Amino acid sequence: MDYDVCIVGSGAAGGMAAKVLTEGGLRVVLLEAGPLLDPAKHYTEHLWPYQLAHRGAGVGGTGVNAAGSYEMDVAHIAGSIAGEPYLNAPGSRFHWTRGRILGGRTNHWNCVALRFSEQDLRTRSLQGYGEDWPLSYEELAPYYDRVESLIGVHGTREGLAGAPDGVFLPPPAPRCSDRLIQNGCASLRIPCIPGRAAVITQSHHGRPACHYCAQCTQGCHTASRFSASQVLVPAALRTGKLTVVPNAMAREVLTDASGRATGVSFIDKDAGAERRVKARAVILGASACESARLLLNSRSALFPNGLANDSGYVGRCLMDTTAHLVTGDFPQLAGIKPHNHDGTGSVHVYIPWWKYQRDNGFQGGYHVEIFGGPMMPKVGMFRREAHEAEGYGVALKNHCKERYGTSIQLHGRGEMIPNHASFCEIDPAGTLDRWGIPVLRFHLQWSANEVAMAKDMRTSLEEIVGAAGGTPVPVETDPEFGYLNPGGVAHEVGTVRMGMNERTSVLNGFCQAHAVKNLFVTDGGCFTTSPDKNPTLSILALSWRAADHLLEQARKGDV
Amino acid sequence: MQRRTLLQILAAIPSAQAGDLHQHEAVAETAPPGPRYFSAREYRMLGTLSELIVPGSQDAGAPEFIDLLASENADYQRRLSGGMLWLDAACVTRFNVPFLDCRAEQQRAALDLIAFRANGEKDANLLPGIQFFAFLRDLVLDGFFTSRVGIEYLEFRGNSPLKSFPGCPEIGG
Repeated sequence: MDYDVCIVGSGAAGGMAAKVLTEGGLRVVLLEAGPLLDPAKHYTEHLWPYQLAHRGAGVGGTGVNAAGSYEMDVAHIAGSIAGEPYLNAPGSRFHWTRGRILGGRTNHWNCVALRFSEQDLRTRSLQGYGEDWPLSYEELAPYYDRVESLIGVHGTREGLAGAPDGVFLPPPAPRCSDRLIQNGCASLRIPCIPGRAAVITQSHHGRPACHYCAQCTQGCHTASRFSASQVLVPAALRTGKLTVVPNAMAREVLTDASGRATGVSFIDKDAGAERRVKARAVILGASACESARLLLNSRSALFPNGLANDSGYVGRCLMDTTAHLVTGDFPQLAGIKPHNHDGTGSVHVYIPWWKYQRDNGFQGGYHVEIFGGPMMPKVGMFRREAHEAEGYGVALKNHCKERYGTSIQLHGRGEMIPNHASFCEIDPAGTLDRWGIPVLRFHLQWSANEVAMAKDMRTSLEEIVGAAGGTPVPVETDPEFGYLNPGGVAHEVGTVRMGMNERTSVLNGFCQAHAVKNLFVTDGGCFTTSPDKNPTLSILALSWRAADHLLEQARKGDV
Repeated sequence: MQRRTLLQILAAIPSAQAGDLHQHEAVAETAPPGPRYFSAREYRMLGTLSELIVPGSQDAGAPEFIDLLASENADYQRRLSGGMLWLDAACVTRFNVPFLDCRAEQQRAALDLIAFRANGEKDANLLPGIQFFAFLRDLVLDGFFTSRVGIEYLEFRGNSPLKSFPGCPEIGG
């Protein structure tokens, strides 16, 4: 069967395109590399650690890292996938979290939803670094409005130029830990405002309000935390125009002699066999690096370096959000009577970047997400207490209880500037995955700017902890400047970037390939830069805008 | 736990209807007949050590948790079995009997030496025991504080659905 559009990937990018295109009347086939979502089977929300086989520690205790427990993760979202390796070049430590399930990583996202500002989209012309996007905030804003109205985002109107207001539901009340940080920020005259996140605090388009279990990242049974699998794909299915093909691993975008995309070849993982689907247009929403991989693996006489890659920019300018954590001890939290401190799984308050128009010693900025207080006990939670108290018996047990819930985590989330030392490529040694598809090799290097920013995060966040009445927990300086490994927050973007100049970019401002007019890439790959703001809200807006553009072209008969 | 069992549990989790979720149901319907990895003697020693490290941890299932992880991890096997044999040898040297046959005050005296890093600075011969004990202590804490009784001991009040979130009861803005 022939389709109007073939979409690869069913997360924020692919799910949104599927909804808009099917509601616009087009027949769409959606290829997803993993299974259909069964929340009862794939989500771990509401489980107690003692209800998990390994209490959350994973098989052999190997499932615990600084970020928590893999065993608590939504199924089929992981860095390590059997039979699907990726490689790092010497000196690179990129961590690639991949979703192989309907809805992709929106099933476990932390749902911080921040708009890019005009300043974010124009760093080159306004501040002399990075690149300008080929679209303005004014062009993007109506799509932010639509996305927020559809998915439900809480927040407050603050009138900050660097953090544009949106269409907001009421925010949740601050937790005790949030209150302390807000008070500290107030004394320093640093803004600490109600959080902006895609959690609905009241019922919204048929979805019930949040029930405040703080487990968004474990999958939300009630879809009170937005996911593509529970909101976008069902909407597309209701049109009767969508065909979903699960366990379909895209291998190559097919083209004709004129270079137009004609469909996609994929591996049917269940059958272990190659299949092909034909379509009049192709949209890639497979995630920044998977989409780059797919293009690089789609070689032809017209495109010997990979489809739409005349510029050589496919795979280049890989960026992530920089992530630096400062933990503060706040013994005063122990004096508050035990209460349900959970709240949503996302931010109730956050600190938007505040040092505009100053000489900071680096370009760009960061925001700060705040978590902490008495959270669900988990494996690894008392490592520091055990190290400090030592000993054994009642004294140790009491020390753990006294210290439980008395730390607050300030997560700095910063901009990374595109650099040519950071990219992904098809492994030059020819490694294949178990589906016969050449795999990626990563190169990622922080530049001096990111290093300078990390130092500033450390100093400023420790100052906030102190002003809030806490004591910063010292960290040993490490070669990565206290940053999580690149990829650690799974905000990888930039590998199929949009731009005005066809020689230094792959896509135009509608996520449409310069060289292949019926090919679009609407995931984070299309980003020109990587502002400090979390990417998903912008992926949703850009994908909606791209789908509208494709619908208009289809009506005119251009595609 | 078998995968099928886990799936049954997952399937039994309702979709967030108020009041349904704050239930403390232990998962393992029946405990396995014996340890998966440790010998009966090692497992008795693990239980004694666990209870000394965190009183109540044996009933909270800490030894069972540690045994499960060890059964899947050769490094854990080496560190735990090796550490317990090291401790037995230290007890034989000092008290002429292995750890389990020591009187309670002898067991405490043996642990007092390896429960603090500072002792290793005075006597480097203690370092293997100190390293072992720190590893075991972390595992016992994990086992206790992820159990039903451990979570209740901490007075954690969350993982319970709310119709609205009241915020902080005590700290003003």
